[in-house]
Amino acid sequence: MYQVRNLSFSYADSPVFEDISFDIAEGKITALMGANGAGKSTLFRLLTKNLRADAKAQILLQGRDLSTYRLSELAKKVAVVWQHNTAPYDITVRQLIAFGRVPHKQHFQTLSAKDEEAIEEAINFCELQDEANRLVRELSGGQQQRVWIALGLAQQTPIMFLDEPTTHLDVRYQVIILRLIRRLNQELGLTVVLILHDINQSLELCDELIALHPNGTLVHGSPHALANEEFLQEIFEADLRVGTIGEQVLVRAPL
Amino acid sequence: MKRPIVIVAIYVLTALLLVGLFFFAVNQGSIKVTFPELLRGLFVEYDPNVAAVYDLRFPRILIALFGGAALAVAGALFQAVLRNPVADPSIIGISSGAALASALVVGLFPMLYFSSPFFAIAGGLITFIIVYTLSFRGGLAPMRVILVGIAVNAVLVGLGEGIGVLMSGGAATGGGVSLTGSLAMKTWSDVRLLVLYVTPALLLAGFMSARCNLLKLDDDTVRSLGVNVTTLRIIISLIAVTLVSVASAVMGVIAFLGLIVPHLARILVGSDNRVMLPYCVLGGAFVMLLADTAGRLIAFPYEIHAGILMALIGGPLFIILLSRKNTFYGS
Repeated sequence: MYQVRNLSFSYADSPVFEDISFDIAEGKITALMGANGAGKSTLFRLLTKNLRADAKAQILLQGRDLSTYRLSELAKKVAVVWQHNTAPYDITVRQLIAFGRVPHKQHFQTLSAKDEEAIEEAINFCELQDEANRLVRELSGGQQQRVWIALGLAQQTPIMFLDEPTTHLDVRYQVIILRLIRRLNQELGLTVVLILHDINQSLELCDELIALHPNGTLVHGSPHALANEEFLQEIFEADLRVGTIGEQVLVRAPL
Repeated sequence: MKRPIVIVAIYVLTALLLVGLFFFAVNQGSIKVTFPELLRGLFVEYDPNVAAVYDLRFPRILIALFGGAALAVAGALFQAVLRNPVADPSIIGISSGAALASALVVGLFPMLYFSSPFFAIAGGLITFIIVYTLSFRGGLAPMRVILVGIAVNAVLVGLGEGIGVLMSGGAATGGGVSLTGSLAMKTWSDVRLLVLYVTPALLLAGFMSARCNLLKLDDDTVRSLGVNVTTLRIIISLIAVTLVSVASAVMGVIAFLGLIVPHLARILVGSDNRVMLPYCVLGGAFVMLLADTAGRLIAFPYEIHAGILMALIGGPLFIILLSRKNTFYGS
């Protein structure tokens, strides 16, 4: 889906990462992980064209250079669910999800039957039928997160990016959101790229992990391959222990 | 959500009130004409009374209608662009910039009186560019635009008052040339100029109304929907600046109208810009004509300027609106 080659990025004089290369596989769930400041958000923004990479870097999306995509084209390929979303005053769930059709319409076009269908599908898939006509700002944080995911789903893109989709949610909604993301991948075939802070959730949910090392390099592998103590301690610069409960690998941080 | 039938009813009611106010305003003053006399005088045969009404009252009424509509729509556009309910062209200095440029040109080059509106448009645009460049940091943060705008406005008002004192020969009676809006002594040429610029700008605003709705989302989200937020903001701001500048050139600074009318519109017809912006046209026209007509009547035969009346009524009303729950959408 994505091929990234020779990517370097620095803010002013402080390099974030240097000369990294990796692929993001189609149809898989890939998590970007790493310590704070390791460059997860920077990489996220580079892949979604919210930051510009330097000239010698090459980021290919479906074989085509990302920089040649116009924003309106990209919005038909890549949906992004951002971490910070302000619920607009007096907009209903359905109206908000309808914004997901913007990339598919000319400037003055009204919603077609096909648009309505896409909106309806997104509402049903995210199980928002009962909330569809309620105001977004009246919903709980967890319900709102489902609405933002439905907004991205209504874009009908092959790829969805999510920036820390479970942060600030209680554990019940964390599970609901993670299951929803897995269903997006398994039932709709979406390629999912996300930033997750919880290592155990990453191991549980993802097919692939991209770990950003504090020294500016990157390690790419399966959760199974990356779940070893030495490696995780290096990545997160913290005392982490890896154990197992049944077949489930578990990472814990002794205090 | 407002039901469509409610929205239609509110539109119709406002339109009827506006028509009623129009005929009321036509007949206020020393000359009275009945409605049949008016029609006959306008379209059939010459009538000195109707001719006087036509030359003296029609221009100021039409200016109130178009100018009020322009200010209300511009206010709504600025509020959408800056995602901030206290964004008003008179607060961020655009109106003052336009009125000051106009007053300066008239004061220094009286022979340019009839082209002063063009300079006002330039003044509004320059103020707009100053405010935007000073607040641009890789994007337009709503609060920074407001703060810079307030500072720029303070400088412009100070300049206006200083120049006013100088131009009146040191007598501190003028208090700022003519920055405070008034519709007295307006002619048909003022009407023509206002209509010429305001009509296309209002139509453009209508075309952009669906795009204005997008600005209710966070910038990152709008961008991931394939829309360049900064470009969108600049286009909508330019439409708003044109509306404000022409209105301020012809009427002077009318404070609060661009704040009050969009707020009332949101309460009455909801915040969907496709419904709200057209309502601002009606509402702005109504409120402006009401202010001007009331100003003519309250202390007859003296006139209280519409701008003063708007400030007196608009200020307290705005405080009431602010103290309502949910006035601030988003933040």
